[in-house]
Amino acid sequence: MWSTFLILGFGAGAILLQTTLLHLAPTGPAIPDLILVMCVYLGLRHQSVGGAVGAFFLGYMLDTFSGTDVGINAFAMTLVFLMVYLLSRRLWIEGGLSNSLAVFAAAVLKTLTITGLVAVSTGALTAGGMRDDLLGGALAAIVSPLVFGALGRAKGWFGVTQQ
Amino acid sequence: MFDFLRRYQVLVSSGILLLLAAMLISANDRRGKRVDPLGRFVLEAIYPLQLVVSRISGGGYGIWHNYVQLVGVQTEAEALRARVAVLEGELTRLAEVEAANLRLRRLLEFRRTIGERLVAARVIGWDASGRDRTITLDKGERDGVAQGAAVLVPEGVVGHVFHTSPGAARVLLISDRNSGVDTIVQRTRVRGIAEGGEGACNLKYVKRGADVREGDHVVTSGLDGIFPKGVLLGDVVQVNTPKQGMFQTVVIEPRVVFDQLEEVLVTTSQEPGRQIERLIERPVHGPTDGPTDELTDELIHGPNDEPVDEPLDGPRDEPSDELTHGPTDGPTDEPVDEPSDEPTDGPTDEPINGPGEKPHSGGAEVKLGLMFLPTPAVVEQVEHRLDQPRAAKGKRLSGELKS
Repeated sequence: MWSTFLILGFGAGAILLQTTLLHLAPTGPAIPDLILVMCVYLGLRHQSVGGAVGAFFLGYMLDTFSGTDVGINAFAMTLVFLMVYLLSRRLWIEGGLSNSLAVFAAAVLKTLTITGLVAVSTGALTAGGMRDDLLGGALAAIVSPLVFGALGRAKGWFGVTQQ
Repeated sequence: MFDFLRRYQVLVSSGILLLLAAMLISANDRRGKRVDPLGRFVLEAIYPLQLVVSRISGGGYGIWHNYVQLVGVQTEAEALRARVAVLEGELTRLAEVEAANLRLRRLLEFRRTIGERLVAARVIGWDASGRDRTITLDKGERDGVAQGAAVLVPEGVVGHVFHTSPGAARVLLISDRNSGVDTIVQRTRVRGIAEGGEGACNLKYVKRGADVREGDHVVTSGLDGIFPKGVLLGDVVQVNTPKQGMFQTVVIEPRVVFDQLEEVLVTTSQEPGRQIERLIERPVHGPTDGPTDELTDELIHGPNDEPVDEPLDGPRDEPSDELTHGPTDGPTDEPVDEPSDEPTDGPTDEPINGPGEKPHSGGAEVKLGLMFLPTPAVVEQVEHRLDQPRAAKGKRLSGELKS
């Protein structure tokens, strides 16, 4: 229960940041994709149905506050969660650097997925969106240790145990 | 079955969610409009927070942005202030240069009208006591300036040199009480001696019946051997005719504003070639820098040296040559009073009174010696006093004045 609220709260906070404050950062159109970081976090720390639902819902919120077709980000985030989950079962992903690398890899996967889905949906391949998504993924990889730390602390405060 | 689902619950749930997402995408594509069943609620739940954060962030961004901008503006303002100060300084300097150019140009034009060899000099000092009216020039014996040389400006007579050194000369202004200039009233040709006074000059030894009116121009007579003839000295501002006495008192307002003198022309006694040669050997260092110096240098060295940025409107060659070589036409080629070849000694027969020198035997005698051409009235007074033969009186006077 607390885990659901925690994910929802952080997801809402991430959406708020991505739609408001982070646009003020001097990084141009690229903004750090905090939702992606949370999805990676869920794939690493919440390997359960709740984690998958959380990733889906985070992606859905991203769809709601973005201009893409509804479902594209939900699909991409769910896929990211799944890939991270599968990867984490075979690779030891722990620590800031590996987390950041995982986030960046997830950003690449998400970018390719969305680009592919948009291309299928619209019949056009947009390289500009890829570039911004990759830059956003890189920024997300940079800030991922902070997000991971904040989520871990929040879990400690609310007594949420890792599933 | 349940074990499979429990074992692969993440994979299964993820697959179902992926399928759901794909269905959403497909539904959006097929219906041609946005299908977002939960988006309305999500948006409704998020937007108040978004509004608050947006306002806060917008305000904070505005404050930060304005602050940063203000910091930049302050820096820019300081830079602009510094720039303005520099430009104002430059403007002032250029104004000074322009004023100097105008003055020098007027000197050059004035030089054409004077049939004398003149050298331009800067006023570098004023009287130390404040009681007397003297100035110091930056030209001296090396430049051909000798005792008794006339000092002129376009406005009129300034004074005469009463003391020289190799590099400087001291000038007794006509406003000094010890000064006297042989003058004539331009309109009626009435002669008189212009003596210095308090703020004005007094034209003395003008006979009672002489026709002198206020507004008359008083010019130099040219008979004293110092000042060229016809140079304006001032205007008559007051005429006092006493009921008794031989002379009337005439007050003259000098045209020259002595407190504002900066450059003057001095009659020289050297041959032009020698003078120019010495001037070239001696670098000119004036109190001001910049184009004024360049102009002055050009005036001295002539136009064939490094060109300056056309400080003068008219042809510069002619006046420059005139200042250095003397006028090329008219009486300049044949100066009326050709000075001797010994400029530093000064004219031996023309004793010059300095500001501190006492009259030898009365004011009339001093003026007689000073101006060299006493008026008849003065001669009469002198003769009456001395009561000696004319030759003996002259010798005695000459000896006294020399001493």
